[in-house]
Amino acid sequence: MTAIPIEYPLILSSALFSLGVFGVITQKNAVRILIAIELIINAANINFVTFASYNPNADISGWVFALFIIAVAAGEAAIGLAIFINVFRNFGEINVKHLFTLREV
Amino acid sequence: MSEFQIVIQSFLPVYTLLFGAVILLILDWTIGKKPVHKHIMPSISIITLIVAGYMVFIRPKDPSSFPGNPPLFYFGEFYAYFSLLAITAAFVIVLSAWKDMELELSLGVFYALLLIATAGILIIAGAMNFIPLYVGFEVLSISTYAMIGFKKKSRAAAEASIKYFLLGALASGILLFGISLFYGATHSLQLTSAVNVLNVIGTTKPNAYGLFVMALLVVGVGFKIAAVPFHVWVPDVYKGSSLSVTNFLAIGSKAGGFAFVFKIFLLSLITIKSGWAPVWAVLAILTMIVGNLAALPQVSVTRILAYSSIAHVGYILIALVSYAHGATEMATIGALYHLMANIFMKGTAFTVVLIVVYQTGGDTLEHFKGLSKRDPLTTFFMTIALLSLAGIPPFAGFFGKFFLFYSAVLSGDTYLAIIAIMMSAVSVFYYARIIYVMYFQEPSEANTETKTYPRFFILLFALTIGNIALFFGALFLTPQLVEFGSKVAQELAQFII
Repeated sequence: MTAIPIEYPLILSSALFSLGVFGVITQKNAVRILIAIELIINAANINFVTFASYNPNADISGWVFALFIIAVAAGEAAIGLAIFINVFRNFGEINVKHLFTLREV
Repeated sequence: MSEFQIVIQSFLPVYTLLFGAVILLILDWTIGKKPVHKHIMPSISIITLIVAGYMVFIRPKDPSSFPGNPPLFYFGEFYAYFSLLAITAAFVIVLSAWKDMELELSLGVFYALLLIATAGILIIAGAMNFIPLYVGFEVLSISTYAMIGFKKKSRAAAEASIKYFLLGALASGILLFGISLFYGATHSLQLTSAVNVLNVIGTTKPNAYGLFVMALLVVGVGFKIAAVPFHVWVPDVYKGSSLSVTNFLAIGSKAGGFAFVFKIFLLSLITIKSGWAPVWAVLAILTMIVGNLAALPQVSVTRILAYSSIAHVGYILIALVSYAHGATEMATIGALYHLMANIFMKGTAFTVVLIVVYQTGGDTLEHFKGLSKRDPLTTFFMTIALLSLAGIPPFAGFFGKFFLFYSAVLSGDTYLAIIAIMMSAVSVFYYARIIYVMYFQEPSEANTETKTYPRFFILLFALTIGNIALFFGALFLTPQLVEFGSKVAQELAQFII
């Protein structure tokens, strides 16, 4: 169980988190931004599972939370894709750079 | 009663709201196309909200019976108060959306989403563990994403929904990463676990890791409550979405967001307050200044109210700082009172904007010209709401600001109170400008429509009475108010061992 040092999964999750934030900042396509956000959520998920596995108190709440997060992220992605389809129908594209019709003063 | 029955009874308000939502969805699917549903759907929503409010009052109050060991939920005064806020806000939205949504299909879905969002606020207010806290937060967020994009044919609503969704999803991802690091440090997802761990270590000074967790949590919740510099979505989303949804964002979603902030910072991270108090002080100052100054050049009344809503977030954030610096009772009273006053003020203001949009087809100051000649009663209600927002007695907004600023003085953060008072003075300008335009300018030729609807009148009347009653309540029932505030403050503080 503890054959792998805890640093390995934590470095993986930090890398995923940084990649996600980088993606959100640089990407212009809404679907790509959503994928980057999913990377952030999965980084958090890896953290939860890791910390639960290395927990000295044998606490399972990290694993339980990981399951909840997977369900919530699925709901979030479903709503998000529905919103993207709606935007695509209204604007003909989902490039967030071109969605600035509301900005006035 | 058996333990199982007590658990069921504790969750009855949430179950009632979800049951009402399911009924609405079924009705929408079966009789949704008939014209009669326009009145059936809101009526069912109102009955559900009233029953849920009653269930909150008859909940089991014995702390030893709360579900989970250690308790996952705590149904005390804090929970009762925020449930009341959420249910009142949902009530206002149901009444104002009654007409607003008439042109749209799938009314039942809209009201079902509203009830589910309310249930999310109730879960946040009761949670004592990060799992229900996060789930409640997402229940609230996901249903608001759908509500904003509800007008499918509208380009503005589509744009508003994609902006709110992308920023909200990013914020919740960052928040989750913060919670995961919190879990790594404390080995537990209980909100109170940080307190215990820090007691073991014997220090209240956060290290770099603690500061990083705190920063992630601040960014995550900052988006939800729209604190500067995470406020960029507010004007666009408020303008783009349908006005009833804007109203919900300004009063309901805001109350839920603040319940979340108080749960995390005043309950869980209270022992490292030396870390987060300066951060929130800076954010409060920025929020007050940017919110009030950015409202000045606006011509759309919705955008003015959106920026004023940002400014009010800044005032409430003062409570966090003064709570950390010792004025716990006054800060609690101020925050709770101001959130209630916010419902009456913003609820009235956005409903009047909705009426004006119906009468004239727009929401700029141009459309408000000479409103007093066309529609004197609506103008009167709007004037009271705006004076209350500016903090002028005898309206509830005065005591909201008074308690918040006084708590800053009590805790020794006088600079916060001074900046807040200066910015309040600035805010009088843009509120007074709307009043001036309504009373002293001639209506343009095109705007002669005078049609109002009786349910709007009833709603506005009730909100205004509530506004004034809240003021006199604070004036004459001060001992009871202080008692309630100290009860909630004690409830938050009792977990610090």
